[in-house]
Amino acid sequence: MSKDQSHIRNFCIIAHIDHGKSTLADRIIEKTGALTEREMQAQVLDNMDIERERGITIKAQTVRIIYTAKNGEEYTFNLIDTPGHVDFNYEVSRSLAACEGAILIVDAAQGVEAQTLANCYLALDHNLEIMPVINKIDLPSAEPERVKAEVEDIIGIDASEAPLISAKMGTNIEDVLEQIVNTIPAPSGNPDKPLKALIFDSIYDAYKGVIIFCRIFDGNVKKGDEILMMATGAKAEVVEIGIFGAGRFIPADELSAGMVGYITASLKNVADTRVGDTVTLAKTPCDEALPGYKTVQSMVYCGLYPSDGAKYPDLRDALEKLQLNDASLNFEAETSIALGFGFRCGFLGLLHLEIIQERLEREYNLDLVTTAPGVIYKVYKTNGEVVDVTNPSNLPDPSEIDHMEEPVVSAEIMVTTEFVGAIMTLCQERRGIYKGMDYLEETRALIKYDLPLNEIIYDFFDALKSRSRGYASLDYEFKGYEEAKLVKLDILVNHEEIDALSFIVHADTAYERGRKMVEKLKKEIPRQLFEIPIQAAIGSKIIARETVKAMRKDVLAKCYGGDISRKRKLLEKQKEGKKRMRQFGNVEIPQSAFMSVLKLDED
Amino acid sequence: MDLSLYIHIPFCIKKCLYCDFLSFPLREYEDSYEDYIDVLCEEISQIGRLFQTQFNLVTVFIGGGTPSLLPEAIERIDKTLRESFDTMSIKEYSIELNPKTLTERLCKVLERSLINRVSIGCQSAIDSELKALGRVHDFKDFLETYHRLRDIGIANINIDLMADIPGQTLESYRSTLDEIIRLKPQHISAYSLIIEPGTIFFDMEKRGELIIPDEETDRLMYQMTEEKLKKIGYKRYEISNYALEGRECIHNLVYWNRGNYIGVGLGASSYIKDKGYGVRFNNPKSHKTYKSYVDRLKKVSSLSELLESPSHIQKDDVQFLTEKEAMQEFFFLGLRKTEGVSLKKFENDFKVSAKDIYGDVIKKLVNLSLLDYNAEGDKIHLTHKGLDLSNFCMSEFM
Repeated sequence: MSKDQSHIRNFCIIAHIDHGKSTLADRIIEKTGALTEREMQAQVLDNMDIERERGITIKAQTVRIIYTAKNGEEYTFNLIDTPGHVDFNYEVSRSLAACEGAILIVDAAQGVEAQTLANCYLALDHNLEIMPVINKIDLPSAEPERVKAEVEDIIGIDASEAPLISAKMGTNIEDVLEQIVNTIPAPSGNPDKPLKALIFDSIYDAYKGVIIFCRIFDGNVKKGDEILMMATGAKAEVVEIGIFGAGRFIPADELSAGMVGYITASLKNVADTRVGDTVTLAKTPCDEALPGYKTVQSMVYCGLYPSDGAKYPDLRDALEKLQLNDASLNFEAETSIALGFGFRCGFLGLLHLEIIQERLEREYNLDLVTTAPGVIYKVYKTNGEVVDVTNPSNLPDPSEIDHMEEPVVSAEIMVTTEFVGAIMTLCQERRGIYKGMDYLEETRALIKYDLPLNEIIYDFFDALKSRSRGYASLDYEFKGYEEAKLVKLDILVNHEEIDALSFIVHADTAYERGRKMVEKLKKEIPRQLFEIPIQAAIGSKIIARETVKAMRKDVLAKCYGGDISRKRKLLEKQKEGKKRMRQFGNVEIPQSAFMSVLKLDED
Repeated sequence: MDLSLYIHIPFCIKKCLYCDFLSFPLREYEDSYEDYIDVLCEEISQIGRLFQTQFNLVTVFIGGGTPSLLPEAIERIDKTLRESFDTMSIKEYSIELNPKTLTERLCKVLERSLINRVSIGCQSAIDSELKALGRVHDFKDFLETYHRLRDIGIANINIDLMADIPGQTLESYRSTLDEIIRLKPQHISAYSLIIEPGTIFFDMEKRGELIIPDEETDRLMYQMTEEKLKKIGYKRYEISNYALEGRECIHNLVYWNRGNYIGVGLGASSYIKDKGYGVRFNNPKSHKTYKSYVDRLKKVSSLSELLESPSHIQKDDVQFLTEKEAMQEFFFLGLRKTEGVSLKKFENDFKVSAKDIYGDVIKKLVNLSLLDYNAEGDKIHLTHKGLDLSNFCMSEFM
């Protein structure tokens, strides 16, 4: 393997969701013959089912490609795919840090989006060479020249040379490959210095243990070396090193400065190999770690409970397995009066939560009940203590609370001008504080708001899409904690508090939310043999009430000329429905009720 | 062993707006309905051939559709029946009849046939309500039909009534009841309208165009029915059925008591308790498959050949009941009767005590005042409240 750094190109692809990142990656891999067409599964890089279905990348995937350029020279490309969602911003930043350049894909019809911009700024922050590519030129609505101008105006980079391609049709992919050679700089590390490598991902493999994905900046690493993770302090002996073939690992003798590859060592937990950490040699460590390491904080919390209480150990096993591969997922056991034994889990964001939930249900075959997602509140008690509260049930008594703080994010929303009013109204409703607006061009604006995180984790994204007919895009980053007037809202069903339905909400919106909650629950809780009051309360004060009337009639009057099967099916369905209910005192609440209150903005 | 026979005639003048039964407008089948009757009569004679030796025919029910629309067909069916079965054992022989279809020709057929009970689809005494249902008759038509039937000597008459009709009020329902009571029929079936998928009402309801009385009114109508009828000697013997002493519909009770019945005609259902816990099956629902099924039936040499593998001759939905399914049926069918079910009979049928299997369910429902024991403690029945919530109760036994 060549140690000649001048023939290495390390790059990533950045884009807004759906602008064709994975498709371009596939084409590049295909063109360079890293995989035969038969081996090519559509979208090689998004290899989790959920990723492919949702069209987003959750875990960074990496592939090494050999390309023979028009000048006759052979080049090694390391394509580092980046996660494509705001929840995974930190992972994105680490992937970017492993590269010298970034291909910026912009959809020829939709143009620049908030996320394009956010990722682009992130790439500029890391001093990456940005190489714009205009994709989807095959669309009837494509306006490549307008979009080029937009890239120049909004982002401020030269787009005159941008290849016009259709990744889907395979049009002009060669241009992209040549430009990679010509515009993206070669790495320039020092192979003679002590090892300095950046971990940009790590996965757990049942056979190999933890596999570290890294970019070598200085020095080199070989089998048998003892490595040190500078932030976590973990040490281990290197068992294998290698490079990324498409869809498989190719062992190698050595990784040296400028290269991208993997290291396996006798490590059992991805928690030891945090993304962003620096790998060096234990004997001859480098003098200083690479900048930018952060411990990832969970931003969103919710309770996950198995529908069937007996599946609690299965849920724990499944979470442990997922955590092996996902250091940003954390969980601890908790008990709910309503839902029994389960876990309070922390996630990077709502998408991360949904993905984990889906994987648990799909890959581990678990039927789950999820409580309303919440954030970490800082509770300042009158006795001077400060506690972090993620579960509303753990909120101290109001008399012990001096004040509370909630996390706030700086959000940027890009939207066509006709929807500016609607989006601003939405942000105001969600207690946003207006921070300014830039007109990027005549028809598009970037609106800036500070928003409480707990206002955007529920259904903000859906509301944003529905109020802008799908045109608005959102990006946000954590800003800090701010004091807010927060209260705990409890839900009582038949005068009994259902702890799993409690949540923390701003005092000004408590009435509205309480009212919506009880209305929604009234629809979800089937009539029973007696009348059931559903109440929303703050402390002992009832702020909203609905009543599920007693069931008076549940009878199939007609018999169908001796056709019993129909009657049987009806009764079996009814029985099945009863099984999916949870018993609270003598009230039965369907699991769907717990989920329904998560989406109050729908009606 | 006793056998009941259901005969299906799937033709109507037009389909009512709420109807999801297997029926078709006659004018679309003007060229082919006679073929259907041919096949139907063939099926009756084949069933006679297979069942006659081991079974006694006790009830016959010609339903639809509107069988009274086709007097010639009734005449042929009656003739085929006499040729295929020993009719001496028949206790009850009913036909469904709609007002406006009782022609002189039909009167003659009825007089000459063995038919001894007529069930009239009246539904309401209020013309606007009949119109709302999409019925083709008005109340005057019904009255004419009723009196004419009495004139030709039909001594056992049922009248079908309906609650929850669009536009119906408690008052209008009361006047319907009063009108009907004056006629002193032997039997009254009082159903509520049920909006079934696939009907015009279902689509109307989805579009918000159907306004029917609310649940409270519905229950008041039921209560009123029971109170009024009780006073003048009708007994509610099943969820929706009322009869004078000794005039309960024997054919319908066969369904609830899990007796043997064979359905002939398109899509008709059967249950035969031969071996084990019995077998249920249906006839094909398409005309073409129905015809080829009857052709195959002709080649069946014995009853046991039919019952061992009904699907072999294109019977649909064949279900050999398991012990558990039979137990479930015992309750969900039996509890439709106001007298309830006998726990002794359960023990007799299944060689295990009902309390061993359903003790908790029975206790729960008794505690909720939905179920009660009789004075002797050997039978359980739904209470008034339990009858209103019968699905809730029955599903507990599933």
